[in-house]
Amino acid sequence: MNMNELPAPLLTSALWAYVAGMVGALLFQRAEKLANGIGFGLAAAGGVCGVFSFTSALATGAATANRSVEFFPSLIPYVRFSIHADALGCFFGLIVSLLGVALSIYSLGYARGYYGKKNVGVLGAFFNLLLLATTLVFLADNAFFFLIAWEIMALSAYCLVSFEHEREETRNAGVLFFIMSHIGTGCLILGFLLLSQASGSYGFESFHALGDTMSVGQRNVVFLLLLFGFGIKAGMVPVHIWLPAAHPVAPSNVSALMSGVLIKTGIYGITRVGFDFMGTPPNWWGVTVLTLGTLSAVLGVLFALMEHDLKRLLAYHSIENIGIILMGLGAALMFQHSGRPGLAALALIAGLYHTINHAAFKALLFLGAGAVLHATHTRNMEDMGGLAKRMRWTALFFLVGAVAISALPPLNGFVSEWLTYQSLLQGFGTTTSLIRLMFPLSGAMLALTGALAAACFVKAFGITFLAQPRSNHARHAHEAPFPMLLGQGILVAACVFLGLFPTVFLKLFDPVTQQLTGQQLSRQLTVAHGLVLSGGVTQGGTVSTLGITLMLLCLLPVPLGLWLVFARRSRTRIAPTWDCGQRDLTPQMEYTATGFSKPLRMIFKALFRPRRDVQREYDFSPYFTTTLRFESHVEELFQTRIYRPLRWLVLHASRRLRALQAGSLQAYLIYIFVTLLALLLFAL
Amino acid sequence: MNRTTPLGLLTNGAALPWAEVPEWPLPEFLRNVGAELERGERLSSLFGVPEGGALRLVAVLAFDAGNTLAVGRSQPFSGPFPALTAAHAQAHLFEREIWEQHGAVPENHPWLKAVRQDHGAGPAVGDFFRVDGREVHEVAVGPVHAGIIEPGHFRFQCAGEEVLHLEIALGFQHRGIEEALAGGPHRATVYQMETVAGDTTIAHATAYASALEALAGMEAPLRAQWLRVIALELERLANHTGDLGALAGDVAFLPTASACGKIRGDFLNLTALLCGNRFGRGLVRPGGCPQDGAPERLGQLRERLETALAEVQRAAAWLWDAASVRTRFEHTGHLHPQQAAEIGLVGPAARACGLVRDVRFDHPAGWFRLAQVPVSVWPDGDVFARARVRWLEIQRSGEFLREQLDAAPEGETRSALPALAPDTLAVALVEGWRGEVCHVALTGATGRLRRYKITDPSFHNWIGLALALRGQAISDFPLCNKSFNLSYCGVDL
Amino acid sequence: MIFSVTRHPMFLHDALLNRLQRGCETMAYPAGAAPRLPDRHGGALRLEAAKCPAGCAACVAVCPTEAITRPPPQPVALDLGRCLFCAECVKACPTGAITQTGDHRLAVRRREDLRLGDAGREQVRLTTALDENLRRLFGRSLKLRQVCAGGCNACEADTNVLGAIGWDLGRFGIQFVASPRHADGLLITGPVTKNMELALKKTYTAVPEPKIVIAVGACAIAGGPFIGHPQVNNGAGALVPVDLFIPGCPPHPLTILDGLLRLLGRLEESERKT
Repeated sequence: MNMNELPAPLLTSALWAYVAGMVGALLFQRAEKLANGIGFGLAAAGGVCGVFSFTSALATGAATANRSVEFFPSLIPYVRFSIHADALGCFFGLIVSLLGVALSIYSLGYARGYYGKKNVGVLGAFFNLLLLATTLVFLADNAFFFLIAWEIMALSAYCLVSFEHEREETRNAGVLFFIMSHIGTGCLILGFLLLSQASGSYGFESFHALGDTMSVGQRNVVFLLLLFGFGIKAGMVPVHIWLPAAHPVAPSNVSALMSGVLIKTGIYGITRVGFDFMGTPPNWWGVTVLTLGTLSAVLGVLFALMEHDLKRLLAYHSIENIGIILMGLGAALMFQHSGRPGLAALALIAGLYHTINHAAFKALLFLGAGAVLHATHTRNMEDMGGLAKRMRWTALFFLVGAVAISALPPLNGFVSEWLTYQSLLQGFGTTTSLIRLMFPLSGAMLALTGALAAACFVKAFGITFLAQPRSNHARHAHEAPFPMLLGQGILVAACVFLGLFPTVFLKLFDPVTQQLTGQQLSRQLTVAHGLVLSGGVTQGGTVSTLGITLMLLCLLPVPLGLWLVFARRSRTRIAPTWDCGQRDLTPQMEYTATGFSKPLRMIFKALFRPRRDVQREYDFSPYFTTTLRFESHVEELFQTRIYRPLRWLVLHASRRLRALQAGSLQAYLIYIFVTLLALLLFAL
Repeated sequence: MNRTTPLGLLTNGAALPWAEVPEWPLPEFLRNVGAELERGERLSSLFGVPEGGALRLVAVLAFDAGNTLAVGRSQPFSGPFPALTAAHAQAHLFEREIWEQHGAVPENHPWLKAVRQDHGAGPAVGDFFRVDGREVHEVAVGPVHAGIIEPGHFRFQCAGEEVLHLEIALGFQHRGIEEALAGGPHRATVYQMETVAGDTTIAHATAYASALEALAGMEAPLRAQWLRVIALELERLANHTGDLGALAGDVAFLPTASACGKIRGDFLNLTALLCGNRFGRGLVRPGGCPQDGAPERLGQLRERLETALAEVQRAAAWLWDAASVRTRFEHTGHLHPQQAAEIGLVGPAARACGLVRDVRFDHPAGWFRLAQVPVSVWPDGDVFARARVRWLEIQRSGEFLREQLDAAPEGETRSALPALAPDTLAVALVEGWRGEVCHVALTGATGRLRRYKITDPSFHNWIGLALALRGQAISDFPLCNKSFNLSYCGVDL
Repeated sequence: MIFSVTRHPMFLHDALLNRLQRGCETMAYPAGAAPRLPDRHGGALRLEAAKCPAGCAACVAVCPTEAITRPPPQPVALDLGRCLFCAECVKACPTGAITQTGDHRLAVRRREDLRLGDAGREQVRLTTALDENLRRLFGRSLKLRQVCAGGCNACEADTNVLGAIGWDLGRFGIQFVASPRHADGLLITGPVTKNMELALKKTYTAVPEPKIVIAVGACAIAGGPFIGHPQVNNGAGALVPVDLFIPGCPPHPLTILDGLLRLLGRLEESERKT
């Protein structure tokens, strides 16, 4: 067993902290406060250790020097419990740990809402288990251990999603998640089996650049299987349907973890498969990933616009952002194929940067939504309103998250989307075939997505926090407890840092891109002593978020000065909003979430197929209506067009196949005999 | 008229002794009125006359096809009465008003709410109709709403941009005109009649003068009747020009908007040429017209009229040519002719739905018995149709004025008004530029006014606007509102 | 529809040509002479109490709003704030004590300046400009919110016409705005019905300081033809402090414009220039 330098103790302590947290939370189940403190406190500690461990591994380059570490010998053949903290794994591990810190601190406050109602110890235990399993997924270095960790992650996630299992909605969502997850795992198992068959062993080391030696057919099948399997976990369209079901019903800290980390395991898988395992990919892989990414991005944001359930809205945005990440990865695959490792590295950086950015701001938004849910006991935006005055800090943090996800400078979303644009635009010049049209097309779709996302968050922030409260709960909302604010604050700090200092953060990508594409770009992308970010592999643009911020700050004295000079002389009078001179304004007169998105619903009518129910009742004449009821619905496209027919097909086929289950012993013996014969023949 | 009716027949501008007005017990009265409405006749006015501690209902119907008016009254009753609105939507606002003014409850009224006063305390902005549904929000506009405009409250129920329902609440300008008329006419009465709706001075003043002249058993001198009609048509020209300009302004078509703004002033100055006041204050008085016009003055009027008409022709032509204007106007704020007929719409709004109803044609009185203006009708019922009807009326009124200015009768314009006959009912209808203005005067035993009922055309038409907005985008509301251009103070009195 | 497709673009050409031919249609006033009032208009009234015969009350009897009184020891008093300018008193007076001057200038700053009858008060004492401070703020940019508090729409129409190209109020920086929060003051018409009290008060409160109030029309000054009705408040002065009174029923647009310009001190300026 090779023990390495500094990272290893930190890493092992992180892992042990998670284990201790899990055990401790279960042990002290009865004492809720203690279980809460131990469980989430140790998770936070583990997260901190993890952050330091992985950051130093990436920064010092120790990641590349890391070797495989076996935990403890296993007695099962083919199964090795060994981890290898290589650059890619360290990067994703960093994401888990960062989120682990913030979310655990948040959970210290959030779990108080469950005191007396549910078992906080169980929540804490599964939380720690999930963090542990996810970290191991990123660090695992052989297929079996990977799958074991994957499965533990899926099961603990299922348990967490179904935490509030009293509600039917939660149970259904949990089951859907479970099924989709296992379909994905099944594909992964098949894919890894094929890979191990080609390489002769199960270790990831042996899979490296395997694709170059496999036959074309085999390679394609493996890629498709693994893409499908990891895609399900990532929430790629069209296998995303579990995401908008599972994220809203889970407790908010779990939603944040799922959205921030769980779906990134899919991204990790696709990256590992596409760059590490498969050597030089054929072009159509990149095109496929790019297309699926674009589709996910656009459809994700369009469906998000129609939602008035705050957490479902955020879930659809996760699909959108996964799409953006996949666009970066797809472009990188295409560049890898055409032999431009520099551009490939750029696109890869764009995709991976967006990964950590998304983890940061999406978790932040979910935490904010959790605070709002905690205060108003509803997820429906139409019942909220006026929260900005009652929950100032949450509103501010949510606003930062909204600005970040809308990719507005100078926050982090802007930086990664800018890098994605850079890679797409520079891609246009790489080939002369028609395929190159995909780049500007994807760029245009990305622009559309960005605009729609901004519109969607205007709605989300405006309807939730602004104007007057629309319900009694909203009227009596109160600010979230301190741990919840601290957790959000950590993520705000992360968003700001990632946004203002991209050139500093880029250094962490060097080992990653070195490992996957053989290029280190941080020096090329950094200009002017680290103040300016450049897209410049070949004639890229430049941008400086730090510069923008500094400029805004420098301009601040102007209004400040004007205020000092003029405002002193005038009186400030606080008066009610101008209401045309009528008696009162009521919350009924505020815009609704559905009303806000109606114009967009009409524009994309073909996609949404909106349906409206208007029921008019009148006694004598329609001119004097007694009651009028209005409801509108949007068709769930994938449910009705793909999954329901698919389900029908499967059930129908199963019913037919049931004929095989004749029930007679003789028939079953013949089946066994025939199968044995067939396998023997096949082996020959 | 070649059919029988139990109601008492009356021509426009005539009087009938109160005792001769047919009366029935309340149920029979409502049945008779209902039967006529069923036949397709129009309700011009329905109001209450208090008698002792009880109430009589009086109905004035307009038999357009028969070119006659019909009146009937109920015997005094107290307590509630079965609402006509249940079967005939036309009566809805009248019955609400009866409830508000006299306290008699119309049973089964589908939307019983005060018209002007919320139980005597503030305007009638009580509970509003609400649409059920989480996605529906209200937009409440007014009373102080954008522009130099009268106050009114509009409560929209919207799903996003689409208006599901609009309810209009007025009453902000209630000045108590009808209440002050009891025991009249007083010194200030004629000035109040002129300002019932300040932009419809001539029509209301003419109706008042005609009613009083009918009660006094006289007719104004022929030249005065001619002068009144000149002023009425000038008023129509000025307001329709202003409306076309305002509609153009609402769709940001500035050539017509700015041109019509000026031309409207030119038409108003023509009225000022006759009497000194741009709105015709002081031109019409019971008994005649105090001021006459010498031939040079009328010649000047004729010249300036020609210029103004030519200019408005050109300005309107730009409006019809512009495709962007037509896109906004067409299919916006649509009203079905059936809806228009059922709610008793009057004026250009009704004619724009294809209904042929015009008081000058159906119930000619005064000079209109001698000279006719063709009725301007357009079938579509949308904003475009209402604008188009206005333009046709501008052309036809212009043509009419040209003819009549050349055919001035000789004689005096003034004559003294004798005493009013006691216990007499008189009805005067005038086609104001918004539609039918109806004044009903009832004298008491002393010859003073016992009850005076004023029905401005807007009283019939506001519900038309509310219906026209259903299913429209809320951003089209200013355009639809201007296409109707109804009077707020005419309803509020 | 009977429109031919080929006519469509012509309106642009025609409108432009027409505009070029007509040139500038805005009147020169106040740089030039004021346009004349309609000859039958009459304009401001002049009261020469000295000409009143003793014991004669012919004018008092005909005035619809009781604007003329004969309070001892004064021979006669005429309140132009209540006056509808119907000219019945002019016709009724046997000695011509009340005459029409044809003068369009009627606007005043103080309510008592509208009461004629005392010696030296034969005609209205015209408005002076706002004080220095307000003139500096509003002199070149005055935004007004119009509030119709029961008006019959005639004062509104004649205020509206000031925005048309003939009068062009905008060239003086005076504009009507939709929200009182954007306004420097209110322009009130109508006798202020009880039903509009709340709305008027709210609108007045919503206007930021410093603010001015202009009452246009006989109704806004003293209730107009509806004076004494229990449903009205007899003018805006009952609820808000008024800075400018413009009498008339309705006041001619020239009178309103003269009042506004005089208030902002713009007329003195142009008088000084000419």
